[in-house]
Amino acid sequence: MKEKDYVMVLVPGSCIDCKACTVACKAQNKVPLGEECFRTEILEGEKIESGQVRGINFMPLLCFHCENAACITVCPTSASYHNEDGMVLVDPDRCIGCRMCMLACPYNARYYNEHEGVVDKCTFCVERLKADMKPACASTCPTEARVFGDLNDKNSEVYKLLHQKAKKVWQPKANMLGVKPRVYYVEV
Amino acid sequence: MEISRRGFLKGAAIGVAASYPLFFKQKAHAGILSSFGVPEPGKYPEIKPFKPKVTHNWCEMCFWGCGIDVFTENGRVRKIEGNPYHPYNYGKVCARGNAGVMLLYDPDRLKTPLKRVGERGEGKWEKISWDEAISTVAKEMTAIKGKYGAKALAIVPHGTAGHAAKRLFDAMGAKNSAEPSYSSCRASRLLGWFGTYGKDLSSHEYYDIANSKYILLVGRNIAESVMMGDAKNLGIALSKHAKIIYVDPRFTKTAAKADEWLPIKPGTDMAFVLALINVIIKDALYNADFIENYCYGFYELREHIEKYTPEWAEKETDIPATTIKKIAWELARYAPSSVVIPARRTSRYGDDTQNARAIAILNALLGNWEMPGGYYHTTKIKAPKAPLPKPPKIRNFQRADNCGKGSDFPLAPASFGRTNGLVKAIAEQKPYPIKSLFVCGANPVMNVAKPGETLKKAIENLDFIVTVDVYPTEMCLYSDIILPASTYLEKYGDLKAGGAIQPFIAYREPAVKPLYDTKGEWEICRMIAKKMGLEEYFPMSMKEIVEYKISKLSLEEQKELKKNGVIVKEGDPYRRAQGKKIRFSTPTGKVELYSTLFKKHGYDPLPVYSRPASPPEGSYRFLFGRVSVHTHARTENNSWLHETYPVNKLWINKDEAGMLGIKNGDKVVLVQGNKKSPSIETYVTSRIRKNCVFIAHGFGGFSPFLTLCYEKGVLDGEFASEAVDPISGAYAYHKDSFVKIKKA
Repeated sequence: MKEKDYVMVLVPGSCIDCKACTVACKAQNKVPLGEECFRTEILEGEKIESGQVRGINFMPLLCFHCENAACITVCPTSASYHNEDGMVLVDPDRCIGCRMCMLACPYNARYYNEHEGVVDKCTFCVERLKADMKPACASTCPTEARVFGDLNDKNSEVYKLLHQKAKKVWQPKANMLGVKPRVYYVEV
Repeated sequence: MEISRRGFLKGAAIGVAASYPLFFKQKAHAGILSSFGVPEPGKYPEIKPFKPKVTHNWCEMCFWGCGIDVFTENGRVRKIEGNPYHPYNYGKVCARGNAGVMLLYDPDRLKTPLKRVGERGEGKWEKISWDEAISTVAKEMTAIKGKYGAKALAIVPHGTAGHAAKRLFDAMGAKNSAEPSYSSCRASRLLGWFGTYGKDLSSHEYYDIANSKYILLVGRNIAESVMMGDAKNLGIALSKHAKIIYVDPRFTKTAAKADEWLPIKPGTDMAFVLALINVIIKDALYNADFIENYCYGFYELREHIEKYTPEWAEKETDIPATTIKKIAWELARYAPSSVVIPARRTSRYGDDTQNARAIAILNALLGNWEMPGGYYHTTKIKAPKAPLPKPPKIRNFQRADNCGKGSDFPLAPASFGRTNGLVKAIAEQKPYPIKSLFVCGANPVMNVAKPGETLKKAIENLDFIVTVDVYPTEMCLYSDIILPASTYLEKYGDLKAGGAIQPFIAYREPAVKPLYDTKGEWEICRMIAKKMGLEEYFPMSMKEIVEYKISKLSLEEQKELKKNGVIVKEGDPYRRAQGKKIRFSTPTGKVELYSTLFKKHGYDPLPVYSRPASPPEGSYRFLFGRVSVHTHARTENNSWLHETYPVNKLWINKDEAGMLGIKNGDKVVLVQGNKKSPSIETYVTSRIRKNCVFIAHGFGGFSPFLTLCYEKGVLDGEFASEAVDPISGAYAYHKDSFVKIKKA
């Protein structure tokens, strides 16, 4: 077992789509400007019944840091890799910008950084983790719709959410593809 | 085919994802690629821990004032993070707060003092030195003061930037000051609450939704007009499954989080609230103990409210009578942990003060005052004082803005002033000539009603206009001298004492040196004061003031402030719940269901409903409001926020649009009389009810120097009404403000 089992638990029911996470991520990770340049975003789904809006769901999205990561499998230069904590990272020196990983990713979690000619993605803010800080998005989320922590720690909020508080836990497409993501969605 | 755009992938990725892994096996390729100079697998770069330098500050991307920690690396601000100790935000910052970095590094910022060389509005400027700029300002204002008196010098201040400017004008004996936040925003709610509880419900609101079991939001778009303290508490309420009812003509993001959305007919909120009061009284659902001990005028209210039945309200509001009854019973069931929250911006229909009164009364009947889940008590705290002399008191100053004692709006506090009154006074040069305007931290062009008419006329009457700002705003286009201010990340700020559920004192220190030839507002005003011979009122620099005040704190407090960026004390939020006796600062010392203050001033002592005019055939009521990522008209040029929400669109109901033959994304224009808007894209949706249209505030700016937001969208003010609330004197922007929609 790994010493740390970092996961992100997303609570869409608490997300107010304020975009604090997206902007915090831009700052922390020097993500360039551009509509398609983001490491995390919030998707919106309208519930329409008989032509009338009945609800809107907000679904935060980021890299799922899959254990069986399709992006790593397809990368011809081994630029995509798992670090010691199991996070999926890109080594920009190895990346040749072929974008195969973007096609392979089932979650549309990657983008192409035109300025540097490499593919970039969420790292769970690995440089912050090394300084004992939470990822920027989880740290700034006002409604605690993004909860980050170590699943090996039974006192952590992520453990409590997944094992005690959650009424429902799901991981989109995970079963179909067998990718074993590190990101969970819960309903509390 | 080039596969580069993520947008393309959004559609394609899912389909091909499963098949690609079969064709590529990374290990098979590694050997081949190493011969091309690609490094061997297994050796990856070491990632260093994030260890920035931290400075303490409070955010000024909006006016809420969240505590922030500013992270710099190699002398450059990289990240802004919420201060975890600060009671306004407990470690959280919104999109705007996070984007403060891009305010600092916005290449469009004002960089030096400027002098107008072309016509007003033309935007032809010449760079000048600070010395020339300050000398000109001092000379011109002294000349106008000499010719017309100090009252001919007007000022529009906003935020902490405005405090220094107000002090300067107080020192000159010039009291014609008006803050936009009063008339454009919170005035009516402030007075409605004051008339009931003797305490205003200004920023920062003291509702305790983290502990509420039932939350009724009457137009309070809490998820989009977002403040971090509120948002955090909303998150707690959501996680505890508090029931949330949201009343708004639009299905906003708040509606998305609510259990029920009530698409009310615009302008009829008061009818809805009065009917709730009716049911609560008729069905004896009120807190009899609280009314007995703490309220004044229950019998008058009972009699007054009789005619406002749910069946009557259904016809006014389009909310079914059964729903109104159900909500009244639910409010009572969860009382005192149920709470009714008014909108934040209450400059709407001209009955806003009385509407706020109605909401205040409804809360009183629930007995939620100073109870968990209701409205809590804010404990006050004071920062130490610096030895600054008080500006001279001016007795019997006749204000130009028709505000305060002796005016048509005697309850409107002169300490705020009415911007709408001031602009009108300048436009008409009545009751006396006003010849100079000093704007500090505000942009009236973007927040007054009918800027192209009334404000334009006012500007024509002014001999001298000065604007102090970070950005070359629309107001700068009309200014004779422009003084560039430093951002909050580049300057010291006066200690900020405040009270949320816990009282606190916060600290601001610069994260970086000013990037350009800019100065803090205090230093700018100090220079002007010196030139005008008023230096005694500005004896210290802001840095000296902050250092002096800190030296007067106890050693322990000093340590806490330097370490955490904020001193936090314990509050006493639920005094009533603890059985403590409380007194209200109303004339009767009680919660005035029947307002003796309003009665004394000739206003209805109990809220009386009158039906708003309906849009004429073929017209729509014109609504505007906030989005989560922008503050007023201040952040539209911020690149991170701009890309998140670059332009406003016209919300129109899909059935209405269908009848007009308008499709989603079509270009249309707004027409009002002879006035036509620039073209705007439609958002055709069922998220807005019929008979009204909506655009987001802050767009339609026309300063070509703000390169990102220049001529993006439509300026709401042009189509807003200049009507006023008869009690607060604030704008009633939506009163009789109708537009027609035509294809562009």
